[in-house]
Amino acid sequence: MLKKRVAPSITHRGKLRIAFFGFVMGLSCLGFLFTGCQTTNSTFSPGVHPGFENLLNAVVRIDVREVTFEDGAKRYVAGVGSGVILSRDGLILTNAHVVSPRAVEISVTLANLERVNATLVGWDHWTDLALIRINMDAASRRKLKFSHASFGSSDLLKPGQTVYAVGTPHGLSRTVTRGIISNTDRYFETTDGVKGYETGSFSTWLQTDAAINPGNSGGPLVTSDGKIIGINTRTYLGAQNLGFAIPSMTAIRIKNELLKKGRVERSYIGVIPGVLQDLEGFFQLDANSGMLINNVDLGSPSADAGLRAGDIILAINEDKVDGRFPEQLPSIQNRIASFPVGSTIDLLIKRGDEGFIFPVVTELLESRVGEEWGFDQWGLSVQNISKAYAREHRLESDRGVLVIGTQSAYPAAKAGIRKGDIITTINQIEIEDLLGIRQIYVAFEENPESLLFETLRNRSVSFYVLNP
Amino acid sequence: MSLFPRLYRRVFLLLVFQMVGGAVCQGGAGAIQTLFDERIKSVVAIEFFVETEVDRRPTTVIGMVIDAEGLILLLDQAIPGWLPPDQLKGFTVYQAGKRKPYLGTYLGQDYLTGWHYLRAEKTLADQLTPFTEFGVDQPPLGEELWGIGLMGKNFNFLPFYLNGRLSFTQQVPQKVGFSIEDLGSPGAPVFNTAGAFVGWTANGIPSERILLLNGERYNVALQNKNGSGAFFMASEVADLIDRVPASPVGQSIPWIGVFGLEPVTPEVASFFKLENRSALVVSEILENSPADEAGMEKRDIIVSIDGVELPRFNPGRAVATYFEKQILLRNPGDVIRLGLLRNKEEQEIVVTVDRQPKWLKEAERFYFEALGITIREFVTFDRINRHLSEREGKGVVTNFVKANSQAGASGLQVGDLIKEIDGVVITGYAQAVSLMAAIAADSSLTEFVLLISRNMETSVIRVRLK
Repeated sequence: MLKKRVAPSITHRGKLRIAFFGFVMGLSCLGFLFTGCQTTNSTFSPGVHPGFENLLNAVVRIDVREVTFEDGAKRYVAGVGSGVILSRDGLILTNAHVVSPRAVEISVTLANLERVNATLVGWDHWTDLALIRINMDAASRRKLKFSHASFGSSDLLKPGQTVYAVGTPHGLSRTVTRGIISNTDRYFETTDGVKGYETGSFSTWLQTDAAINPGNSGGPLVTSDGKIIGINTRTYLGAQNLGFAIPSMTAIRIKNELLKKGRVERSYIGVIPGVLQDLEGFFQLDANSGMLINNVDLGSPSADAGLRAGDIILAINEDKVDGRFPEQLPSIQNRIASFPVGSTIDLLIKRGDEGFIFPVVTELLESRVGEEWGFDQWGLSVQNISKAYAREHRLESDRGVLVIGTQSAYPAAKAGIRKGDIITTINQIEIEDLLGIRQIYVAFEENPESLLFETLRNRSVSFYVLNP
Repeated sequence: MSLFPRLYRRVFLLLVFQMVGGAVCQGGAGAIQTLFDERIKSVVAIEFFVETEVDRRPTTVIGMVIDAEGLILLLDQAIPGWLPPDQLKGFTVYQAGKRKPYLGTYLGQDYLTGWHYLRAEKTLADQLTPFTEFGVDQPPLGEELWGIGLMGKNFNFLPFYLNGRLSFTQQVPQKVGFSIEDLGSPGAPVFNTAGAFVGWTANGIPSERILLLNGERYNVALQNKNGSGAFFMASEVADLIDRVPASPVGQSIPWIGVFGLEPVTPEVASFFKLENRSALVVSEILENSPADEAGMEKRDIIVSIDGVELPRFNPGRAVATYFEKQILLRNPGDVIRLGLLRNKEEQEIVVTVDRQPKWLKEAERFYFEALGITIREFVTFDRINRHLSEREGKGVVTNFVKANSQAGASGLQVGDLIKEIDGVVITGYAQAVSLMAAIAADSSLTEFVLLISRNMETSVIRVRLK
């Protein structure tokens, strides 16, 4: 489940590009257009709410340096995003695509332009949220001052309501833009949104016409009294004033989880839902009842339980399900995901004219993106094979590691190994995962000798000799 | 088509040059002209149509006359191998430089060479000369060779003279000769200056060029569609031209059911203590195939067939083609011994060659015009391509979806595997056809629902009919 667009009516995915605007690679492309002097009279004061001024002092710029393993080498890239301070002890909420576990240096610029480092507390790419904390020792030693903002309820928002986005678009710190709530319940999920990780399966989005640009990511969307009602996340490239934010009610829940555990554990059962819109007649369903199962993942708990594509989930643990429209799906998926891992949930299924109860034991939800690592001397970067990846590519198991990059003229590339290959053995020793290949690399570093790599490329077995 | 006027000018100049310059160094322009006039009778242009559900697409190719009864040989790529023969229509044969059309009958494709065979009608056959009439010769390196090019239909397939020298030969694994200059249009014969047949022009190989465009420099590979310097050596052609298929479909093709044959490089071979030997890794074995029943396993390394070591080729990949051809040279029922390396130990395994399951082009298909959908029988090759087990490989394949039809609007795509029709699980082609026929015939129906599988994921698709 959770990895593909499910609603046939949402055809914009793939046609329009959704941009995730946290990581602005440098500021070289910045262009200013001076249109002449303006009067200095503020359009805000004196009518600015004290809460709004407080909020402005809680919004930070976040500069991140992170490691990538993409081209067969360990490299560092830099980016800029925004964030909002949530507590006196320096917790900052931002986007998962701004700060990820790949970050090696997180630098926060406070409203008073002081800079202080921060560390990652936790991240959740499924909702595109990350929590970082200011280095409080440094902050108190330097007697740095900052405000913190508080949440409002995104559930109370109405389309047409005025909202403000605050952030660092194109590196322009503390930029405020104004707009309205355009839609409170937008749905789309993608598999490539957050650095290749899945996102959008468990929440809907607020849509606003407040200008959101690269660098706004992670900054707050607020009401005029400075209450955070969303975290600005994405916009449509090439479109005008189509910005999207994670609703505060989702953000609060995820923030609390991240604070507790550093991650959000979710249950997985392996069904990809479809919308029932217009299909009620075919499935002989009452209006506003049921969720269609479009696909059951091979080897998933649902497959083990006997669920099939085309089944309708009528109820989860006796609670009725209504998945008629696409925007109703995230909350149903979230309901399933919210059960503790290992729970048995009873799904009331309609198949043909009959009804059945299928008990399904949930598993831990995993991303399709596995842990990554780079081997500099080989010019090779690899990734653990997730269960989801193995399933999508119909691999026999998740053993081996996936090549995500090679550096030209380095040993791996010279041997003939290519991006997309799966390394299954080295010197005829089975490679289970990253640990296995890292052990061989350590031995190679000490004693560089030719190695025989066995790979799968489009399921074809090939051998390559990697020479030092 | 804009190529032709320019080409025409070039050819005209070339002909003039040949007539003037050639007279000095060769046996005279008259000698070439005589050879040329005789040998253009062994070249024909063939026009045919590929008929699909909604249109007919014309194609023109060049063929070589191989017997006195008007038998014509076409290159592998002249007709896409996956096209069902019943979609190939209206074969028409033209003599070089002449406008008059003659009927042709498509005889099929040889599974070993991939070459296609066609029979021209008797009245035309009498005016043609098979290449075998001119004698066969093996050219030495550097020998001057010449061949025939044909212009397009607009120019009545005007024949023109091309020449060059044999630059090198290579086994890939067929023996192929190469000239730096174009020697002929792909499908036309090549001769030496004495007029003996030396080869059959194959499709050209791309040549590397540097493209300078607005000050930018690009490395590009260019392939000439209408001329080629590569040709199958005469000995290869002469030995294989008798393989005329009995019929376009239903051939009994030998196979053993192994896939993903990957050559082992010399460096890797030495890791396996197979110094100076050629080898092939088997990536996949189809369940219940002859190889499976003989006990072959994936990752077995094949080193010999019937006691003969696999030869080395340059490029090394050619050994996979060599092995496949060796199987194709057997007959269903034959027993072959394969020398294998498994877990560092050599062993021999005996495999009984069987008849290959239906080709893709032989799969049954049906077009439901009212629905704008063609469904096709699911064959073993679909199972292999989709990596499905025997149990999973049930359903029919969407072979065509008419643009802007209701089916097209529903999101159904070509290649979708239909697993259920209106909730009925599909177990076979005939059942699927009757279900779809009932839907197509029922004018009161407002919709039907399919469960399809695409990219390993299933989806429910509703097709509105009104």
